[in-house]
Order: sequence, then C-alpha cells, then structure tokens
Amino acid sequence: MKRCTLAVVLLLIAITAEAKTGVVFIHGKGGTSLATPSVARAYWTDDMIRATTKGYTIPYLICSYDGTQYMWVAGNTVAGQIYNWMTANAIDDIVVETHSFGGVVIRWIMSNPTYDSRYQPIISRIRWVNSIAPPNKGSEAADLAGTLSGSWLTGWLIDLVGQKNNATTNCTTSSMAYYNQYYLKGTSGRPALPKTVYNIAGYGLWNDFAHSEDYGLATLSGIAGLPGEDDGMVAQYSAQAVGVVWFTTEANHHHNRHNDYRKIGDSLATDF
Amino acid sequence: MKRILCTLLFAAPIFGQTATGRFAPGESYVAPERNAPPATSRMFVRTSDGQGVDLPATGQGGMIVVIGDRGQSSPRLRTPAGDSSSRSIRRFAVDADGHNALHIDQTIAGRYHVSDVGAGATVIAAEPDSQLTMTTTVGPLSRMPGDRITLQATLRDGDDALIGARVFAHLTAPDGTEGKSIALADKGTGVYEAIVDELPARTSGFWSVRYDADGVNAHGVEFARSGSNQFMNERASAHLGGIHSRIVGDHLHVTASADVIESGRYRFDVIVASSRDANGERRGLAWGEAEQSLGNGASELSIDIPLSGVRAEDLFLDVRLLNLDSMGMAGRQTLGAD
Repeated sequence: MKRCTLAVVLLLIAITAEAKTGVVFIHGKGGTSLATPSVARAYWTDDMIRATTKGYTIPYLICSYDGTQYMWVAGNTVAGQIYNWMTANAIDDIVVETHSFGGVVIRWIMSNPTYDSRYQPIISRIRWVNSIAPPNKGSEAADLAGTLSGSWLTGWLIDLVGQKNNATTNCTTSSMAYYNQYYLKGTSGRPALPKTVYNIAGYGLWNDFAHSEDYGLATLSGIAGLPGEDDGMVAQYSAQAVGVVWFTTEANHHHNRHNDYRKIGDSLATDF
Repeated sequence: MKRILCTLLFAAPIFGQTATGRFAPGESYVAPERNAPPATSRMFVRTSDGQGVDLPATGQGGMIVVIGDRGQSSPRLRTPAGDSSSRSIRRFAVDADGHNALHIDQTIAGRYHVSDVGAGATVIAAEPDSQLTMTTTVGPLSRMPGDRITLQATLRDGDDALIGARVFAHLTAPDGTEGKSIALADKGTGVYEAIVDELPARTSGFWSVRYDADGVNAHGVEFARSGSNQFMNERASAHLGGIHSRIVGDHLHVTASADVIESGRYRFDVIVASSRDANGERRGLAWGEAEQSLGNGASELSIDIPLSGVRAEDLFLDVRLLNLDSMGMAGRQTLGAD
C-alpha cells in the first residue's frame, strides 16, 4: 500500500521589527470587585507590571472582569477589552500573561474561535501565552468548596477557595475534566490550541514567614490534599497539563502573580 | 527556543462559523472519561452542636484543624490523653484578621475534642500524612436525561481495604438545593456504592456529591473522611442522530440530524481519529466545528473537514452536538472503525 506521509506545518516567521508589540495581563478568579480596573491592577501589583513591561516601555493592558463568573462570561469581557485596546493602539503582536483561572479564560477564547466575532482577530495577534499556575485540570482546592458546601467558613478560607460561585465551580477537577473533553483544547488527546502556551507551575508553600497568606496556603494545601507538588492552590500536574513547561517556581500561589519572590515579572520581561 | 516553538502552528482556518484543523503529529485521540476524575481525601468535616466536636485521629502523622465559627469564640483542643495545653499543638494565624489554624505535629490515635465553639460552627480536620484515604467518584460525568447515577467511594488504609464503615452521600443541585442522605452499600472490598435512578430535581448544570465516611480500621482506630465530586446533569435540549460520512475529494463530509427541543446556538463538533492500533490506541487526525443557530424541530447538520493527506480508510468519528447558550452536551455519537 502506498504510504503517503505529508507533514503540514505552517511556519510563521514573526517579523517583530515591524510589529507593534503589547502585553496583556489576565487575572484569576476572585470577587466581583475584580471587574474594577484598580482592583485588577492591585491583583498583579505595580512592581509586577513594571518589571514585565520593562519599566512600562511595552504597551500593556490589564484586563478586569468579575472574578466570580464562568470562563465564557469572563472570556467575553476580556475579549472586549483586548479587542478595543489592540484596535485603538494598532497592536498586532500580543504576549498574554495569565495567572490562575486567567489561564483557563484565555484557553476558552483560543479554543472557541467562532463563539464571538472578536475572538479570532485576537487569536491571530497573539504571539504566545505565558500561563502562571493555571488550573488546567482543575484544583482540588476548588473541590473543597463542594465538600464544604453549606458549611460556615472563616473569611480566609472563603478568600482562598472562593464561595461556591460559578468561577469556583468552573475550577473543580470534575468541571475541568468535563470542559477539557468538550469545550477546551490543549490537553492530551484533544486538538491543539492555535497558539503556544508556556506554563509556569509553582511548587513552594513557605515563601515568606512574615505573611499570613503563606500559612493560609500551606494549610489549604494540607486540607485540600493537592497531589504532588503544588503552590497551595494549584497542583503542578494541573498547571502543566496544557502547553510547554517554561519553568517551575518556588513562589506560591500568592507570590507567583507578584514580582516579590523569585521575580517572575523579570522572567516574563525576557520576552521583549 | 520559545519563538521556534511558537512558529510550529497547526492550521485552523475559519470559514464563517466553521473551524477545522489537524491534530499534532503522533497525538492520540482520547475518548471522554465516563466518570468524574477520582478525588482522594484525607480530611473530614464536622458541624458543632454547641457541645463541642470530636475529631478521630488515626495517629498516622500530623493533623490540621480549622474552625469556622461565626462567633468570636476561642476554641480549645483536647488531646485523647486529656491534655489541652500540649506542646504538640500549635496555632498559626492564617490571615490578617487573626483567624487561626491548629497544627498537631504527630497525633495520638484516638479522639481529639474541640470545645468552646458555637453551635453551627464548621470544624475541618485533615491528616495530610495519613495513608487512610477515601477516593470518590461519580458517573456518568455527563449525565443525559434518564441515565442512572453511580456513587462510589473506596476506603483504604495503605494496602488494606476498609470494610464495615458507614458511608453516606448528599446530592446538591446547582441551585443549592440539597437532597436527602443516601447510604452507600458496602461491597466488602473497601468499595461502597449506591445507584441513583432519579435525581431529586431536574435542574441542569453541575451537581455536587458530598461523601462522608466513618468507621474503624483493622487496628480498631476510629476514622472519618469527607470528599466530593461533581457531575453535569445535561438538559434535554436536542437529540443527535443519523450520522453519515463520505469522502468528497480531499474532504470528509459529515452529516447528522438534530431534533431540537430548545432553540438556540449549537455547535456540531466532529473529531476524526484512526482505527485502533496494536496497543488499542487511536491517533487523532483532524477536527471540525460548525456553529449555527437551530430552531425547534428537525435540523440537518453538516461539516466538511479537510483530510489533506490523511488516509481516508478505517476512520473513526466522535460526533458531538454542544449547546452554546447554556453550556452542555446535547448529544454524542461515535461512528466507524472499532
């Protein structure tokens, strides 16, 4: 039998000298207040934004969306902000930086190009995505919200795990298994994403003994039973389930969206 | 290095509301998992009745205790030896508001007791080092109307199956409505199971299943475990059937019929894979997605997927109809080589 092997690889050479590059930050889940730009900026901190953009020399957009909503609701909000920004500023080369659930939100956009007319133009301009601690296969910490459903919780645990809202439901291991099978691309056995995702998984818990958040994450890691290495919220296996491993970091889930421990912003800036 | 990898893109052209593409060379096709991914628990939850809460410890390593109390109580923890000021119990502030978690470095097998907590307070205890685990699942993960639900928990203490435990499940609907307690039958192998013929409500969306187990291990040591899974209760929004395919030029033309009960936005997804190889695996070959608005009643669906070099023999098709207005799968069928 005639064997016909045809490798179809589309080689795109980025002509960065002519491209206008910009960077987009997409935060993770949280409260409704994350829809407020100043709250979304505080989520990342000024130092993270400064470091990543090389002292604000790279045009940037900090997306802000209601952190309690499903990925498709967040995706539409984020897409609207990116579309308007890239159009207004003639940005045609976008590096996307995501933290936590933000990595799932950008996967929703890249996995469903026909869902919204703004998605494909955005996808076409994305160079790649750097995804910090994304719960690509869900988070056992989000599962905890189901186990504790109906229970009275202390504020810190609600802050960490999230109320049993839509975003938390989206992040459970069961939900992500479902979405990975039907709506999201990029996991093993599914079609590839149209652009490359570089993942950064955290494996540290005790970063900074001066911050009670570290104790909270270490406690959460123990309660939720995150398997293998984890950053207190997302296990390494889940973060690395999509894309290419760029590096791992000792920074925990609180610190790996900041530039204050292991200087992740400095690493992101090497893209420019 | 990143730039080189970035340039290796797989074509995914957009034709109106249709997207098609190819799998990465060598990528396997993986069929959807039937059940929710197994969740392993080493923790349990108790609710205070105002008289304090007993916390059974296995003595297998440390224990973390978290108390969620609406009041401003100062909970006290007493060891099985009756000591409430043990040096092995440490308090950690876990947030800026001064909430505490208690850490016990090495538990004594037996009952710890938390006192001075208000009625209704939630007490969470975890034994992260323990080999006594409860692993739970629920299936099907995608539950179509009429499907029975299987609830399953497996209790193990290292290599030993734990039998004779009491295991209960509670179903919670997406709207928060809680169902009655369901007892799981002991299968005698460490596996506990219950079959649910009908859900207490038709609410579509992700339902939660919370499992609570308690019993004693082979050494007579008391234990408790809690865990949870979820499953999607699909809405009966449409039926998918009549899948046909044929090669037209260098395209695979796939058609299907949909009987739509709820009009709206849908997506016709087709994944093309190879026949099984000697290891029983299929290679992913190509995929296509066609989105359209469907009215009530019968609709014909079709999509053309470029084969571009793919050997058009013994193809396997995984065909889905996805609801895009209210996320969920309306139907799935497979066709072709086994």
